[in-house]
Amino acid sequence: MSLESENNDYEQFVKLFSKHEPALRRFVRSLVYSWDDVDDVMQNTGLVLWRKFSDFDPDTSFMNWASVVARFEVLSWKRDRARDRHVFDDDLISMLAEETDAECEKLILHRRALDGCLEKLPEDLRRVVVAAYEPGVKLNEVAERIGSSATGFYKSLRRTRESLMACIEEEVASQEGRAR
Amino acid sequence: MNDPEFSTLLDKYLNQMLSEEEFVVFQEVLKSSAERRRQLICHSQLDAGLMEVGGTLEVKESSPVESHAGKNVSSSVVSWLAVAAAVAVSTLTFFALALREDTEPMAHGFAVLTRTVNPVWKSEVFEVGSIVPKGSLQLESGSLQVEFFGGATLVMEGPGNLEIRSASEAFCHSGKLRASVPPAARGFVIDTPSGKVVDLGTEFGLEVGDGGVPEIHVFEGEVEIHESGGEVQTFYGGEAGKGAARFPADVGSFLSTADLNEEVMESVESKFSMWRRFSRELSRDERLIAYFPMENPDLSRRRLFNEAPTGSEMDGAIVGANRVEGRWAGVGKGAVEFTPTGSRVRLAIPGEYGSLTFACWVRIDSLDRQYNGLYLADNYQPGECHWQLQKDGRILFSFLHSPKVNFKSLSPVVWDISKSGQWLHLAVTLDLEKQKVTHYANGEIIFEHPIGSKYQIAKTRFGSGELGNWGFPNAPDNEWFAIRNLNGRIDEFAIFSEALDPAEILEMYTIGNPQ
Repeated sequence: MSLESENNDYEQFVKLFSKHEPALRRFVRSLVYSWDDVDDVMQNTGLVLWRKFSDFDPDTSFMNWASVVARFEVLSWKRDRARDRHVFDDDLISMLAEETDAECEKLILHRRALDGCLEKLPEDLRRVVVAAYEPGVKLNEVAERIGSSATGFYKSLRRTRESLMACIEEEVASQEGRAR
Repeated sequence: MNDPEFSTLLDKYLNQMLSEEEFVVFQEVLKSSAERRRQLICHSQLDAGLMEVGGTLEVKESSPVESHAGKNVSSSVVSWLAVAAAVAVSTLTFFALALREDTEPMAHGFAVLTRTVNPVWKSEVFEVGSIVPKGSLQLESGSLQVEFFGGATLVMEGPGNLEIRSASEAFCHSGKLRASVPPAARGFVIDTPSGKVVDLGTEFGLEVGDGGVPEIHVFEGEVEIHESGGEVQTFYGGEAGKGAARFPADVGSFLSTADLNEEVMESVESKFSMWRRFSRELSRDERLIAYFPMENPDLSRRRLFNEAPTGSEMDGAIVGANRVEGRWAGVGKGAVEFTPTGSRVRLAIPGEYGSLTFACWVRIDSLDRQYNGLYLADNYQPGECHWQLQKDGRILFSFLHSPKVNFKSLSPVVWDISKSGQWLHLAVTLDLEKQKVTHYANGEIIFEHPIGSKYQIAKTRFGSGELGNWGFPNAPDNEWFAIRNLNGRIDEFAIFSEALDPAEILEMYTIGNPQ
């Protein structure tokens, strides 16, 4: 492979990878317990994807290919952490990966609906979202900072998730209803 | 594991707060249930989605729920027709409820719309029985009766524009009103463009015409008019006036609650007799498998007559349920109420069928159970159907393809607590030719669901089953039964051996609509 074609490949890879990275992170999030785990797996996945990029057929879906790689990365990452009990076993990981793939079109609709649902979220629950999902912040630290009302914070967080999920499902169901 | 337990685990999982033991349990539950896995996947994706945007979300200084809800209401000034409004209302109610979850469910509003006669709405459309929030009730023509939580009752004749301001205050922009204010509601205020009318416990009529100057007729008791200039004038029973003019009150020129009741009865009778003609014709339809018009309340009989050509073999047996008045009050129309827990109507339908339609009128008082039955086959064998309402207000239609392969079709939300006590027409068609399920609410298609190849069936069956509850497990020696009774009424239930087309469903709704 000449240097020039490698540069072209690299550009191509970065373009595709950055385009699909959020969806890939969401995919990995369905398979592992914590955001630290997601970061570990994503880092390895990125490396492997680049290493194997010459195998990728540009006429096929990058996301499909990447999610297969990510799934194997989850499995191999897991083997290194066999002593940690907060890890799903291989069967469950495979089931979840397959089912996430099967639902991928619907999950894209979910993601789109989320923006609208956040708009509709009452202001106090929006604050909960901002506090809980501030980049680089850990949930237990947020709760600690809040102190005595930590329980209330977790409750509100749960309510926020449930409200958003209900809104998303309703939105997607009504879109599907309209589309047909 | 029940839903709340699973939700708690899922939530702890997302917060990374599961103990090792809990994690083991969580994993086992997930492995045994595709639905639980689906929930985990959706929530993980949501979690990741929030991670993408959450930190950048804008937060305003402070914005009470009230204004959030208010915005939704006024933006849906369009017609009420089924879904659009149903979805909008349920979303806002949901958020309002979500906020209060720690205490108890709340609804918002200041009055109840109790009667209408031929209303042509200029504002948002309200059904009889709706709770009316702050905002405008505007009629092009027809008339309505609204009862304020404070105790006053108003009858408005269209055209008119009445703005509800609180449980004891309204603003009449234009139109003709008659107010009935019992002692408990004394102090009820109607604002007009040129001053306030304060009721001191009485009956009076009020008309606001083009000039905005109110004409007031006091039939009984005492009324004060506080003019914008600060002057207060008092009118007593029998007196009427407009500006400086004085004349005797004309009680006949204002529609009273009794007049309205008479008009309602006339309109009910004519609608009822129209429906009855339609229903008698329908009962000759050869596509009917079973048809219970419940025309006659016959309170003592424990049998529900099948009026379809299939005859008395398909009669239903009423168990525990109450026979009550149907969707037209006062004309002798019957319905069945499934509120007592053991209530049900037993059906036995032999044979095999192809496509199907289920249709009924239902009045839901509340959705107390996880699943609230409309029709459920007892044993749920391959080819048998379940039609029920979920606690969250969606309709679930399902059939079993083969053991363990269960087709489920979930509609958008059709009901929330703000629709408690209102009559709703529901239908679902299972079309085996086109292999799709179509859900209807109030005559409109709300959801079409193609059946995936894995789930396609060629035959449907009923066997034994029931309306309004679930008889499973039906082994005579098993005293336990699932509780899926519907807290509400079913009035008119039809099952067809064909997928009706949308025009036919719309006709059933239009002619059968009690409003």
